[in-house]
Amino acid sequence: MPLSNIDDLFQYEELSACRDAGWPDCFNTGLFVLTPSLETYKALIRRACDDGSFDGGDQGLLNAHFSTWSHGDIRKHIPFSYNVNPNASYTYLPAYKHFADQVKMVHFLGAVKPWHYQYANGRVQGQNLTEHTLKFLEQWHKVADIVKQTYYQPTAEMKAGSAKKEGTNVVPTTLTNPEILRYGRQMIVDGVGLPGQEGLKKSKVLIVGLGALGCPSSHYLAAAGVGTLGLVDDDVVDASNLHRQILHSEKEIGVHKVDSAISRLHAVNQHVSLIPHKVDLNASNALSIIQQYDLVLDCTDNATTRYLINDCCVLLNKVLVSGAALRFEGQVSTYNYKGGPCYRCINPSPPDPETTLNCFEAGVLGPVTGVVGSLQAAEAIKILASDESAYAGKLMLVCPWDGIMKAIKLRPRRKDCVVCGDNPTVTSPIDYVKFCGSGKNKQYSNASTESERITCRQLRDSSYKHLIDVRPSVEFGICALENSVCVPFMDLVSDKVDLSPHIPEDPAEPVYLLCRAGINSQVAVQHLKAKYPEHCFKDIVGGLMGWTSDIDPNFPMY
Amino acid sequence: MNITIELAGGAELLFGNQRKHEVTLPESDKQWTMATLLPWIRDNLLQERGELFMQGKSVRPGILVLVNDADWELAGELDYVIENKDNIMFISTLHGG
Ligand SMILES: [Zn+2]
Repeated sequence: MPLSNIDDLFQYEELSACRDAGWPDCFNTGLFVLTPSLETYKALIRRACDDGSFDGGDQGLLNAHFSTWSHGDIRKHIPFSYNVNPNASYTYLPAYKHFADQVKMVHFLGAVKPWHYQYANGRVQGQNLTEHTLKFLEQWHKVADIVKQTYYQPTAEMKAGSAKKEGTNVVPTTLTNPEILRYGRQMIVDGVGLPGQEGLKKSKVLIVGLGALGCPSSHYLAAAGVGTLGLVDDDVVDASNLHRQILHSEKEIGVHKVDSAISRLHAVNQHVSLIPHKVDLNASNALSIIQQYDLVLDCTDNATTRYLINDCCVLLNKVLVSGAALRFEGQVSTYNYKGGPCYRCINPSPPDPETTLNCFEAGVLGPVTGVVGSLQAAEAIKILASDESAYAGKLMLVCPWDGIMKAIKLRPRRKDCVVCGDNPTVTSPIDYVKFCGSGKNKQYSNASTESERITCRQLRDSSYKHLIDVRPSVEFGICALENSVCVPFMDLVSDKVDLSPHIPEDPAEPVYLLCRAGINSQVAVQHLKAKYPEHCFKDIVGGLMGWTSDIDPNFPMY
Repeated sequence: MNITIELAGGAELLFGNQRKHEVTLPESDKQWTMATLLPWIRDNLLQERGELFMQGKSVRPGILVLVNDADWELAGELDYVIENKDNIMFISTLHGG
């Protein structure tokens, strides 16, 4: 809490900080000056991975990194008055009295924060507090009141609602009359009622991923009156998202998905507190984000993040409502609910990244993701409003394309589960990229050597006779290059089709292999080389996406 | 013995993109169990490389096995004795969203 202008901190150089009251040879990381830089960031990450932190937190890590601070340039020692800890275990009381007027910034150190204290009529209630601590706490609350009055002005309907308490209703409630009117149609549903709606209002739900599943689920939860929604994503809106990511519209192409979602959700329900988390959820930030919420919706698109979210939810004892969709199918389940199985109980080992498909490769229908996201929202509402689950211990399979929806019974919690079992070995987040063998974005091994590849430019300038496009026929039907033939990858590598018409008699004539992004074509080259060792096969770097960007901007990309 | 084998979540792509197979298991003096059914499926129905379906004696990670709409763990996994008209389902776990 700053007590006066602190612009003079801009004159300090990296790394400047105040002494820590508990170990003055270390600096306290409640306040420090540094120059934002990617190099420092990377070096810190490296150090954190290699050596960890001697105190398990940021202060240990930063002191190890900027280790010359204590005996280096004294100008980098900021006066203690910029980082005063009124509640530190040891305090020099006469100094606090003597220098009270010079305090520039107060640091409420430790687990108990100002908002944990009862505050009424300008007084903070608390035991064993020194006079100056009380003074600072009360000052904090006064500022907080001003902030609340300035930035959270009660709307006309809230004011109208508060008048209700003076009326004739004898049922005590945290809901205002306008809220009862607004949510009435869902409150009169059996299982919700007044307690259910109050439950929604005080709940905090984290939505990880604002894509095809996060869009419908967050929309329904905001509209239903969930008090706080946390929104995690680190991506921007792309035109190829719009067929399924229904919060985002054309004018938001290029806009951060969190910003786009917040503006839409705020328009839906201005009373919901929307918390942005513009980060890539990873092992170092997931616990601190997830612990702020009651329930988590997994709306991500990759196995790596799914294991991370599951483990954190188990460690923090949070309910996880998980949804996934691909092509024309979806799956929904609730994990870690009242002793039920977790995601790892059902999927103890990660799938081979080579065998999993994502939406870029396999596609997905918008309404399918709408069904899955809606089921996740319905489940979250049920759990928060009635404390009962529809999908714990079950896996809901939906296939709107075939008109099939069914719930299957899952196994109970595994006693030997590494994270939720009786003797867990995963007690903090692990390296999920290593565990899954693949990051958030799929990594591909380059199968082809340089001599087996040509660029799109080289292909255009050659008078190619044999060009095999290995995309599925449905994609070949969307766009294709002149004089190319379609032999789908799956057919090619499983030898289901007769390839001989495509293999030239003269082995010196090169055969070019083409796909969408230049991955499958490499595997196809290796497969054909093994089959026809005399012949010459080459794959086209970057595939048709490369063709659009390098040769013909009018060639469609999808 | 007649059983139904169903595939979902993309597992059908390993089986010629056919989601439902009505099959007749050949007569045998030994009982059919999941342990003997899996290699039979691999050798008779699978259209792709065996390792995309099986790992060791079981299915590879990422495929859930259901016996009559319940996780096969509840039925005894590989020891489950197949009965006439059983429905055995293989579902790839989805990750997209
Ligand atoms: Zn588990």
